[in-house]
Amino acid sequence: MKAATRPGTARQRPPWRHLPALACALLASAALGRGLWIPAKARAAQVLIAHAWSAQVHGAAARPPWPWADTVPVARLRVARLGVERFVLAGTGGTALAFGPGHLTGSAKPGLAASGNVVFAGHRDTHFAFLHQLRIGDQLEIQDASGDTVSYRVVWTRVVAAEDTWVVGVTGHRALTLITCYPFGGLAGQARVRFVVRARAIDNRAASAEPRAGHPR
Amino acid sequence: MRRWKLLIQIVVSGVLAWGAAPRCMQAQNPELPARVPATTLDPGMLGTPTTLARVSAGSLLLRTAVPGVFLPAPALDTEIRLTVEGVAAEAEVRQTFRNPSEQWVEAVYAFPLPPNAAVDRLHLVVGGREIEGEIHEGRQARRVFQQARRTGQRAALVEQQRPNLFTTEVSNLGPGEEVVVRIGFRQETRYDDGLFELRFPLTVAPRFTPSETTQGAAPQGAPDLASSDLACVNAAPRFAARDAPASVRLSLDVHAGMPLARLGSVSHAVEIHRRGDRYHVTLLDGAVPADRDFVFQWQPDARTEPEAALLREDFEGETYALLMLVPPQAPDTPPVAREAIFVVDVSGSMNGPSIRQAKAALDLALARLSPIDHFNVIAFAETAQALYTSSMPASSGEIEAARRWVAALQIRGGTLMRPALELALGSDGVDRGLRQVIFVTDGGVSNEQELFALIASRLGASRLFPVGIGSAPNSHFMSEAARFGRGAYTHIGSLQEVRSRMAALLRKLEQPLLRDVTLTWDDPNVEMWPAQIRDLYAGEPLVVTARLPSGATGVTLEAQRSGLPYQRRLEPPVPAVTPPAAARARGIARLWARRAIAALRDPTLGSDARKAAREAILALALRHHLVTELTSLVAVEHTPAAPAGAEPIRRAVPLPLPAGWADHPAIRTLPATATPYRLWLLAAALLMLCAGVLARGVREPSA
Repeated sequence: MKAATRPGTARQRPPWRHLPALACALLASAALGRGLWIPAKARAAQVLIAHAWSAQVHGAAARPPWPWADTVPVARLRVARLGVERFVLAGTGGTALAFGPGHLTGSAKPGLAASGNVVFAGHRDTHFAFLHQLRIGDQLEIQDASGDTVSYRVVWTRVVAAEDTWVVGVTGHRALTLITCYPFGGLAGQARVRFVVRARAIDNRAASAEPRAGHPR
Repeated sequence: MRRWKLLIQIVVSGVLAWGAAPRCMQAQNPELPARVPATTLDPGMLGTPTTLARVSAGSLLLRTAVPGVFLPAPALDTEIRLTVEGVAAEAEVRQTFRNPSEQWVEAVYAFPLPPNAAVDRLHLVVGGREIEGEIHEGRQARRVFQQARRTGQRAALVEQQRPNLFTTEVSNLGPGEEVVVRIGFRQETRYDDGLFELRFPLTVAPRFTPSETTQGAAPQGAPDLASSDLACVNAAPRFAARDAPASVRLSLDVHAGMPLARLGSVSHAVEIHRRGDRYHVTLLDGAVPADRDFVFQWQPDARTEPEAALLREDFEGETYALLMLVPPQAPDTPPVAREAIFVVDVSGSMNGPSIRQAKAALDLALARLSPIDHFNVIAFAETAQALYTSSMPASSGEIEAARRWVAALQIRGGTLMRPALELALGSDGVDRGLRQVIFVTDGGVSNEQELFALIASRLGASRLFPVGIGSAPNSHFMSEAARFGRGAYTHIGSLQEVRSRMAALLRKLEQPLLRDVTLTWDDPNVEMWPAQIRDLYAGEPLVVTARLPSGATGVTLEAQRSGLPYQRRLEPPVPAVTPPAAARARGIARLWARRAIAALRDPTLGSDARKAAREAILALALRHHLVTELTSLVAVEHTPAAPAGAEPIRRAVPLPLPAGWADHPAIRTLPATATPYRLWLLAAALLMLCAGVLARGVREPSA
């Protein structure tokens, strides 16, 4: 650094000379803490959810992954090519998204019976950072709470405005839509555009399923 | 002192980087993902302030280089001209598409029309020239459109997505260019309780598609990318951001053909000018946001209330007629015992003013029950839940309990109507009088066909009365549900309307006028729609459209009135025609065809019958020039406009959300999915650097 070439002076050193450096270091560690807390929480939560999920798939009732959690896992998303596994929580509010990708309330429910558009949203810098590695033709696997798995194949990816809600709208086929903020390298906690991955179900088991017997549930 | 300068420089650069980062992202053009300035803000590159300075300058440059437009959605002006002639209305919708961007675009616009609209005309206006649209079988029309699009010709395509939701596509719209698409259609007005009503939808509420649809309403799309893309653009209209001003201009000419006692709009402030027996109506505010249905009503003078009206049109050598009959009220009808089942939608789409209207409506209905009645209340969202396991006598105690139960209802998740309908229509076999199901909902579902089939198969002796709630209910679903449920559809647009509309409905339900109605024409070859006539309640007219192959013919109405047979005969030459405007009636043939098509679209048909019905629909639609799910209108300009091979960029025109939908975050925008943690890490790195430099500065003098 340029400062190293500066000739020394015999000036008296003030007693607070370390203060600016200390203050900077303090602020730096605070910012570091805040910065690390978000991905740490995102990772730790997924591990806890993994336990809750395996219990749920093995027949236990849906339970929150930790006692004070206000959400429950609804699906597991797997991408074999990328070795990615994510546990999807109910709802896309800020608190749910801090712990895992969320299932958009009102969109089709994941599972064999899903006939519409299943929509998941996740943070671009934690759980859904892998979306930019997805390619058309990639296979995605969704396991629902009863342990059934449906496979999807990516048909398109695109960037849309945040107001482009048609991507979560009705589809004429069984679809899976993954949404995250764009651009992936963005720094701020907000973005005006979204990266969207649309996949179509591969098998047709549920589409040809028998109509349900008509009894109120 | 130089180290302070350096420190200040670093801090200023840091602040600059911080401030610039979100702006870089805003300035980013999503069409060019290769230019990603934000990723160049790699913390590893931030060793010297010069780099930082360059980055912030770069982002400034980018901001100025890219115009502040994200997705240059084509702008659209809509102008609606309605003309009422007697009991039918003719309308023209003018859509002006403007392209504000620098590229050639293709605009897609999804818009609502009244559920009984017969769309039969399309004109594409480019630079003063008008090109008339032709009716084609749907796939053929799309091929014509695609061909024009490839060769750079301007073209317009009008398709029906649902019976009340249409799309216009305009290809090869040049930079800064403007084209006008004119769509013409006809619709019936509604007459009830001495009041005519014309309703024109200006927006569509987003629909909830249950994941449990057992029979997909939408056809299976082709597997290729283009069509799957198309399916999702078309099936769901795009909704504009909160403050996107999509406005509509509207004018209405009323020529009722009879003296009017009063007329006005219950939805918008209007200005009415009278010229002779014609009224010219314009919106007081000029252009209005398209966030609610336009509703206009007019009431004939009491002395001239129509008792019978017949409109005729000769079309390709055949006579078509629209017959309206108002049966006179029977004197002193004793009260009838009823079993009233109230069903209320408490799903997410009812949030806000809608649920308050629904609760107010139910409260009124419960308060009006008479002691000889039985009743039950069902609330539904994703599941349905009944107040009682079977209907209870309407004692004052039970009514009080039910009113409290209704007042305490909370909004829950999605709309699954099937379980609620099953519960409501599933009678336990005990006869407690006339079984009336009053179904209060906004109809925000898209598995309509499946629900119609359910209603048709389970109805039995029940009658279904949908009550539409909110500023833009799914009128198609409501009126069709009423048709299959052999009841009537009531719409409540605002909290102020609850009292009057519910009172009218309840008064009606208490006074069934005619039951088991049959209409027999002397000529057996007359084809009449609807083929089956529902029960008539006090104040309701009977409206049928018929094709009369032999011209004038007599008709006999037979029914049960207060338990006694009732008969009425109308002799040829076809009856007393009031209003006199009848002679001028145009488009009756098309209204007849539209009704015939609606009847052919029977969800209870088997697959063979359905195939035959499709062919019949296609033939009818092509003959009568109608847009249906199988046919589309397409207009193509002859000379190419765009440079060949320039693929236009496809853009959806945003549609405003219905009023009252404001509190629905999931629908407004896609979920927010970014965290600021990288920003924090960047800040930490900068501060660390700062600390390092300062510490070194402090140490150095002693070295």
